[in-house]
Amino acid sequence: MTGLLHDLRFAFRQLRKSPGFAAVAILTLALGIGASTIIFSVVYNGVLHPFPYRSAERLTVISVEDVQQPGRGHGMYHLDEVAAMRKGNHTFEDILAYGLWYVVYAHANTTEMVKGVGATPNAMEFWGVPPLLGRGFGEQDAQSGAPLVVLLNYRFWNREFHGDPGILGATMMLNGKARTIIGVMPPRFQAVGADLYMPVSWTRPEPVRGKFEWDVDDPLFFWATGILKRDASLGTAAADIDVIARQLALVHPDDYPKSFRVTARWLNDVVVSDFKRTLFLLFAAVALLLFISCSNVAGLLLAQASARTKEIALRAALGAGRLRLIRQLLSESLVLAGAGCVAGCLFAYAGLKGVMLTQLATIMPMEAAISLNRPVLFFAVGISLVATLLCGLAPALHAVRGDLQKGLASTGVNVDAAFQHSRFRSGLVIGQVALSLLLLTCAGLVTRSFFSLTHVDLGIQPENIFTAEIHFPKGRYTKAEEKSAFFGRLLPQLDSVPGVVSATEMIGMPLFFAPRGDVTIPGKPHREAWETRVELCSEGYFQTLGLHLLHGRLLTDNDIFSARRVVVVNENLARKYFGGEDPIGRQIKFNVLDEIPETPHDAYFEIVGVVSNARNYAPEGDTIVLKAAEVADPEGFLPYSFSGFGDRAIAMHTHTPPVSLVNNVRQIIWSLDHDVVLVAPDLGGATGFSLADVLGGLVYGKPKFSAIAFASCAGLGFALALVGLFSVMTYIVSLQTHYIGVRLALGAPQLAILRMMLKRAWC
Amino acid sequence: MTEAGQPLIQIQDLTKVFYTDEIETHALSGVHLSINKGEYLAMSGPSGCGKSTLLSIIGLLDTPTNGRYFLNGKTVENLDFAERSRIRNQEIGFIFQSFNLIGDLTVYENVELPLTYRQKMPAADRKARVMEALERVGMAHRIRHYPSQLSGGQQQRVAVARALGGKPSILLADEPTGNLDSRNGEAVMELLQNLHREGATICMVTHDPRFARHAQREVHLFDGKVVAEEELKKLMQETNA
Repeated sequence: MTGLLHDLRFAFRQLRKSPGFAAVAILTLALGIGASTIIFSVVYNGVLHPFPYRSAERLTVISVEDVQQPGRGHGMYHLDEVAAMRKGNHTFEDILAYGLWYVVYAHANTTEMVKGVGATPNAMEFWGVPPLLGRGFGEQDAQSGAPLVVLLNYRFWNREFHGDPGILGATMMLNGKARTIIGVMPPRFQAVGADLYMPVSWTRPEPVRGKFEWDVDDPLFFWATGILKRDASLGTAAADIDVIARQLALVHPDDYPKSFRVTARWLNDVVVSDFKRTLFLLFAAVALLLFISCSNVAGLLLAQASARTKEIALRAALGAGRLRLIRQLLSESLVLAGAGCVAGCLFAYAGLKGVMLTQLATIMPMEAAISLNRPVLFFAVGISLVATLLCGLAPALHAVRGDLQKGLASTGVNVDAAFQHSRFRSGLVIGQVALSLLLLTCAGLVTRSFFSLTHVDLGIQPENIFTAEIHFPKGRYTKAEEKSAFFGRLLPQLDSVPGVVSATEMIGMPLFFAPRGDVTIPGKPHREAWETRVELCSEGYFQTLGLHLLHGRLLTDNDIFSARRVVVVNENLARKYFGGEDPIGRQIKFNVLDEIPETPHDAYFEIVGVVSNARNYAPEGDTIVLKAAEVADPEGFLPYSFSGFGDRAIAMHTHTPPVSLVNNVRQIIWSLDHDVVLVAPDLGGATGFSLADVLGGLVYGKPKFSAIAFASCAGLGFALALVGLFSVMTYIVSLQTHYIGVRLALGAPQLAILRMMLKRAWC
Repeated sequence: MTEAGQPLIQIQDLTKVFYTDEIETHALSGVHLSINKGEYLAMSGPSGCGKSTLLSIIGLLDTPTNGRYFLNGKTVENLDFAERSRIRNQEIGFIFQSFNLIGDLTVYENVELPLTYRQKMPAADRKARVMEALERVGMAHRIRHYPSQLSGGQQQRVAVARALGGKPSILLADEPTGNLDSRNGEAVMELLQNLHREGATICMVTHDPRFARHAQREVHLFDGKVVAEEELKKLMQETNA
């Protein structure tokens, strides 16, 4: 122990003696350790342990998968189905049912839509997270006739009530009913990213609603998430629930595919999904970066060891064994790595703050606390120890291999050994350059794919598109005439807002929501389903989204006003279903409309125009991938006045930033009807009303983060490789100073010396 | 420990050949040498005669190509690096021509250094040994100084203290006065004399006859062989002629 203290003390002294060397080595290690620590923190806290819930590592999501169409199926159920799973299973400790519950929150003469979660009374025990303030809800709160209660999310509490602890016991008007605030959940409790949590009784009567009715009185469908028993596997759990699901399929035949199987996946895998692979690749990239850092410092230490040949030989002469000498040299790299660890953690602390400003915050589960917590710090210490060995071992082994007598006789630098070391150092630099080129190549590929993605021709310009949903009060605006009357007044007013070029009504947000199904075209029988999207819109749709008329005509005011059964189709529909024929004047039926209530069924539409292709999206795994316009799904655009079903959306093409128009739009809607609510997009972590924001979060978020992260790694790696090359060249030149002097004395021109050294660098 | 007058070091038919590319250099050829405990031996000879090579082998810094080497009655020519390190640390004290003090360590730490390589030596014992050694060479008042703050003579006295601190069986001095002026050189020789009087066994390499005369016995080397003084003179004359 005393010897180790001696070694450490000497190591500190050595570093103090060479502050420049120490600074470069510590900074180099700090970059490697810091970058590794940042990514480890993201992987550990965001992928491996993102949830603060009880038994989070065993939280399992139960889904039904269509055997005939892999990737299709459902993960949401009627409440009685989840209750049956909970009661009949043998592989779960407990199963929770919880569903999204958007509620209208009325306060201070405004109404807004907030995101709630309805969960069964076992929720608090299931999640195992005690409230920050007050109490959670239980069985007694879900019973019929019990006072209505609500639990607040921490962010919502801060935003709406400025973190007032006296809010407990106050009431909130939610969906026109007063609910008492009974508690506030802690910051990391972010289940489904909801603002509010409310109890739903297991025995609640099943609401009677249609497939496309998004009534907000309480959730219609629920996720089923269970805590797997310790001795159960995902396979046995799936088989266990499969037995129950077969019986449920008999009760709800419309909800289950003809041939299905139950799957069980870890909640972790479902939430982070394919991004896990990207993060692990990134982790590999920073491991390379760490290796570059270590080899750089190893090169520096090797140079130092060469300059200390005599000292090391003397220590050996005085009785230091090889292990003791290695320990002493490793102590020096340990001190360097320790200082690098501290600096790296500081770097990681600042870096994580920067990283959280990127899209990462919207990609990771909201519960994830990406920080320098204890496991991350242990990791930092661990890789510092690895760095100690990587940096110090090779120089130490080289140093103790020398001839004692020669070492003692030398003047300090053993030039022969130094040249041997310089060969080794050159090898290290070559390795560094190779690794940095590998990183640069990876970063180039990732950046190129991100660039390609952002330059997909969507057929529209999302930067200047304002988009929002319009929520109608329950029981009102259910008929087509009522909706026509509302939008007939709203759209002209939106058109007249300064900065707005055009406005349109539509079913849902552009690019992300349009019903899809088979079509029937007289004279065009087909066996396979002709999957076609259908949009219900106003005449301003084409101008707003920038679709060009190719043939025929667009929808007109009159078509909308009189709900004429006419349709404008996109180019792909015309080409795929009509080939070389002229589609104008032909009839087409969108079969998906037959499934929608408050909509005339078996309706045929006359094609009056063909427009350019635009948008459409396709899920690829768990990622949203935008299709280029030319490969977009066939699509038809009908007058929105044809049907009165459900909530709707608006879109506006603007000259000004879309977010700046929110208050204007709210005031217009408020002036038309106090009970109609403008709802911000809830996709991709978008906080504004801009389509570009939604795309940025949902589609470009992960690729953008990957591109930035890989490019940063590659940039750092390349910079470190350059530092390594510079230091090895400086060292080689310093070793050859004498010979360079001799050459100059013999008349060698400076250019020849320069050429000689550059040749050495090149080789 | 060997009793006084008993051979501490016995070398029999020792050879050392250096191989450089395809050239063989015979540094030592059949050397026989015995050093008794308490003896003060000087090895002299012209440059390149093998003095330093022989001293390195005696000090276990190098290994012989052939021959036998007994230290304290035990054969040591084929020991591994770790065992040789242990023997160097416990049995041998080195005094080098260029002092070889470590510039980053204080006087105290330089003298303490070989003791820190000993397993399980209590810190108090170490301190006592260091201070005793420094007092013997008259440098106890400079313990916090660094080598660069000392004169050459003082540095060599510290080097002697470092060699003494481990209480070795033998002190090996390689041209201990080579880097000193005559006054400091004499002072170091006097110091070695005193140590010898106190019972130390010393083997010194020198090419300076003035200093060689301080020793009890002088051994002459020429072309890697031990020769008598008369023969050395004759060989030197032949070489010069």
